[in-house]
Amino acid sequence: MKYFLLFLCLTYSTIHAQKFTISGSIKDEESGEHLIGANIYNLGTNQGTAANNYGFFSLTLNGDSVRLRVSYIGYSPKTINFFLAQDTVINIGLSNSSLLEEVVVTGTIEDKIQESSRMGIMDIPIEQIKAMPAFMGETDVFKVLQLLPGVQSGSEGTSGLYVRGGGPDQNLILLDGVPVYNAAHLFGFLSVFNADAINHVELIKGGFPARYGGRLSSVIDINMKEGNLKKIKGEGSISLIASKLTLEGPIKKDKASFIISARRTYIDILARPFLKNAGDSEGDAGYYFYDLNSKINYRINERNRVYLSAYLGNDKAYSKYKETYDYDARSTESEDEAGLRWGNITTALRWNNIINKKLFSNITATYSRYRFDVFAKYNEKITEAGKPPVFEFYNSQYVSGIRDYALKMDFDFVPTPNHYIKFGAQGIQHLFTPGVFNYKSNEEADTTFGQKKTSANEFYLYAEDDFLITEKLKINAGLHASGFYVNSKFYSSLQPRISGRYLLHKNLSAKASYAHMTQFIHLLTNAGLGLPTDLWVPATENIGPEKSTLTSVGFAYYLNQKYELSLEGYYKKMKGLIEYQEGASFLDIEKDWQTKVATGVGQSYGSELLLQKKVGKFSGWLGYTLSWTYRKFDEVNNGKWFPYKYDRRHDTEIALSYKLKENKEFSVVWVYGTGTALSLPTSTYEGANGSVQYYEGRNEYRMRPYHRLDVSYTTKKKTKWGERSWSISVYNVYNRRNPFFMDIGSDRQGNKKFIQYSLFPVLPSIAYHFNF
Amino acid sequence: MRHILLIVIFICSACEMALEIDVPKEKPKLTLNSYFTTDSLWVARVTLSRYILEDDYNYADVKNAIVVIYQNNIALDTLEHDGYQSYVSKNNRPVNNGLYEIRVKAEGYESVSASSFIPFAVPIENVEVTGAENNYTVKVKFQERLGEENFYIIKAEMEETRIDNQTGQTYVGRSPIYLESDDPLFNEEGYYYDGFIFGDGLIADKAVSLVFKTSQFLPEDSKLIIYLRTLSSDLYKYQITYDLQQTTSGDPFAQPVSVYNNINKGYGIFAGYSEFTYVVNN
Repeated sequence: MKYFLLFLCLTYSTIHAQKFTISGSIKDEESGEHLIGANIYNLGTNQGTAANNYGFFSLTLNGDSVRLRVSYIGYSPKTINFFLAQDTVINIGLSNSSLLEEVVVTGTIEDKIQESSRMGIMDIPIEQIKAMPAFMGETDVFKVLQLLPGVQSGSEGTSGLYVRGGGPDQNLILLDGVPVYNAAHLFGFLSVFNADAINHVELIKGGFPARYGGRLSSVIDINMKEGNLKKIKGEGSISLIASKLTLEGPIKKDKASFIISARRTYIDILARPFLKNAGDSEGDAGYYFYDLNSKINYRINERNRVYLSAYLGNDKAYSKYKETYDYDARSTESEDEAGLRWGNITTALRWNNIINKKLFSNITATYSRYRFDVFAKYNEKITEAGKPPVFEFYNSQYVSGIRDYALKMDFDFVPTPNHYIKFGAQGIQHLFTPGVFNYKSNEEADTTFGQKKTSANEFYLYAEDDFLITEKLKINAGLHASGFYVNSKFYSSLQPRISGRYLLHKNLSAKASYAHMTQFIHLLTNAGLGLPTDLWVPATENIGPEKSTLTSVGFAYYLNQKYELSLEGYYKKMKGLIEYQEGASFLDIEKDWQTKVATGVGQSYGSELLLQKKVGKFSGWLGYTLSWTYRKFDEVNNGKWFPYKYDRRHDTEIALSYKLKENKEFSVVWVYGTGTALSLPTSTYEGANGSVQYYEGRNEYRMRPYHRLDVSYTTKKKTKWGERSWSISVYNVYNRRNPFFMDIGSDRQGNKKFIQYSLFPVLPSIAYHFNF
Repeated sequence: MRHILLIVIFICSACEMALEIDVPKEKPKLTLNSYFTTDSLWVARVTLSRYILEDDYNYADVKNAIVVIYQNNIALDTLEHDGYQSYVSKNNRPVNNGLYEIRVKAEGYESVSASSFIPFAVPIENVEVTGAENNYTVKVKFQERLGEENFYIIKAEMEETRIDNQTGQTYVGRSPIYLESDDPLFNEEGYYYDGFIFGDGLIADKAVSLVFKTSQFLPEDSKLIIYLRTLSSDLYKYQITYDLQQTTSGDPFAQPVSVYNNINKGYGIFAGYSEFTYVVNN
């Protein structure tokens, strides 16, 4: 008996000394969808981790009794108790709290802002995005991201993102890991992302982990839903300008699933009767966009899973006219068509492999293409009695775009709870078409001029470790090494990244980060109209890559177990930026783009405050940004520093939603921003052969401040077939005339005036949503 | 491209709202325009600038100004108003490479000043014209002045004896010859009226050989006159930016252009140039 007790004690102490790994995935219990970023914590030791972008987690603990707390925003947390005596694989399902009656989620204390080593990273729950007032009834992910501190919108109503003084080209927009080069529908008034097809949105504006690279200012990482593994589900909506429908379900239950989501506008259909009445000739003109998201997900076995996802979207604005007229014995029939089209295609084939309990791999092959073209066609047939018909034609097309093939390998290695190591590599083959004009007519042979297509190869390697050094000190340190080969020129870049937190108090931490970023591709963009005509071009032997360093410091405070408060200050230096020279225009397509641009430097600094409440009946955030952003180019503004167009001293956002009842929700958004900088001539004087307009300097003036209030009210009702809801939104409630652009015009008496043009007055809209 | 513009304007104008905005009014300033070269008397024009929103299209002449030319801070000449539009010197002419300053005072306005110089003329060594009717090649050779940054305008004229159809009398007339060139130097720079304006930034050798083509007919008894004007950097910058502002005016996609201005506390240009002409008898 004595020996037996001794054996038991030894066994017990051996088990205690040993470490075992708990690995698996965290899913939505109802749909089987992975919950990206869900937290898993051992309440006893306070050790924990989060599920990665593919829902996988690995947590190594001492052999002992464990109390695992699993949580995710919007879901009821779950606690699992067991004795850990061996490596364990568990797949955990969480219930969506909105499906449970009388459940009010009061907070997820494990997901503490002050404990994360990351800075400048925002996760926006997709339900919170959907709850915000929608412009013309269309939920827009980018318009919600614009409401975050450090992120500024472009012109009125547009979806462009200007992050910490960067341009829209400096955002790496990833859809299932594939870059999207132009995220604009409707000339930038809506983004291309259909909220119904999205599972998770993350914005990184500082403290960039080493796994990301290729852009200077931000990463917007969007993951599409995987498709319901349990049963067929559908949802859709009808708004004033577009309708969408999403279907998802199992191909084979718990093994394979699909999701397909489609959206189309009907602006062209609604406008057609008005256009028909307005014109005499037989003609048509209009605009539409559509997009399609689809994904297939197949679980080969417990360790292997493959996904195939695709996005296809197009915008088209067009005009068509047909005319016939007779003169004497001669009859002429003519057809005239012109328009512009732009769109993206992205495809990803992904293989997730759990190599072992501590090592996870993801291999992705991707294809991405953005194409813009303007076309004009004219056909004429002239018939005259006794003569053969005469045909005349004219075709022209201007094409620009970028196409990528890429292969990416990412590994997650979790050796101990104190280390989370990520490493990997990517290779991208780019093909740039920066503007080719093709012209053909009955009088002239096929003629092509403009820029040459250029191919380039880009690659990177990275390694990073999220390392808990002491209970108080945690850092995320890594290195991103990249290279770019174009026209026999090779550029390389070593980019150190580090961010960390130090716990000053259990609810308060100080944070700091440093990131060096390099961008090998540029966007040639005109003075802020944000048109799809903007051209993607590579770094060349003459125009080098863009580089930046970003340093941030801040504090994170978890207030009353309900509110997250963060204060961050940042300083960003940029070099290698490009801008059209004074007087340069993209209309001058015969000129090499490299001769039309100036290269220069930029700086941005400021501070951002965010007070956020993520869960509960009342949720939302208040953001404030105080910032300065400048640019300097030798050839622009006489080589002096000038304010960036979107230099905005004050930027304030309030986004709140309140659940009156489980099925009734009220949301309100108010934004305020310092007026956009612009160049205005103030005087005119006699020049050599005419008048000269005098500009004090580039972007010396400010438009009026921008502010706007939007509200929405959503009511849901259960039906026999599922649920339906009505959303009533009012955009710009108090009808603020916000500036879109300014120009010199005349008043009614013919006197010259500065005229500010605004786009959107108060705009009420209604949308009908359903799911089954 | 116009289609894009039309469609965008159509979409935007569908819901545009205009609002008048007050921008602080700027007081008129003195505007001084004066080009000078060794062959000419000093000439300067002084006018007033206008607030951008004024409807008057004329620039008021300032006739009561005191316009003085200085060299090494010593007054050389005081220009007098000619009763029409300009201030002129009676017999004073600038010289090569001299650095000059001009100071203008006028009651009620802030005084203005500027300085510039006349660069040395660069002689054309040779002009060779080959080809036949409507297809000529013109080769121009000159030696770059090393050790300094040079800016040029090159242009051509044809001089011929013509007969007045009404009187039957002969006279000598000149008309511009429009030159074309495939030289990459001119892709970087610009076309200037009837010639080219360029800097020597892309010229690698001291011996410069430029090749032009023209499709204009050069009669047998005519003369081809090549002008090589050497510009001060002030004049070059002014000319380039002035032309750019004029040509991009009205293009909503073009960046606004600030015209180079070397007048302290005022507007305009004070700049020197020199010119060399080479005559080829056809």
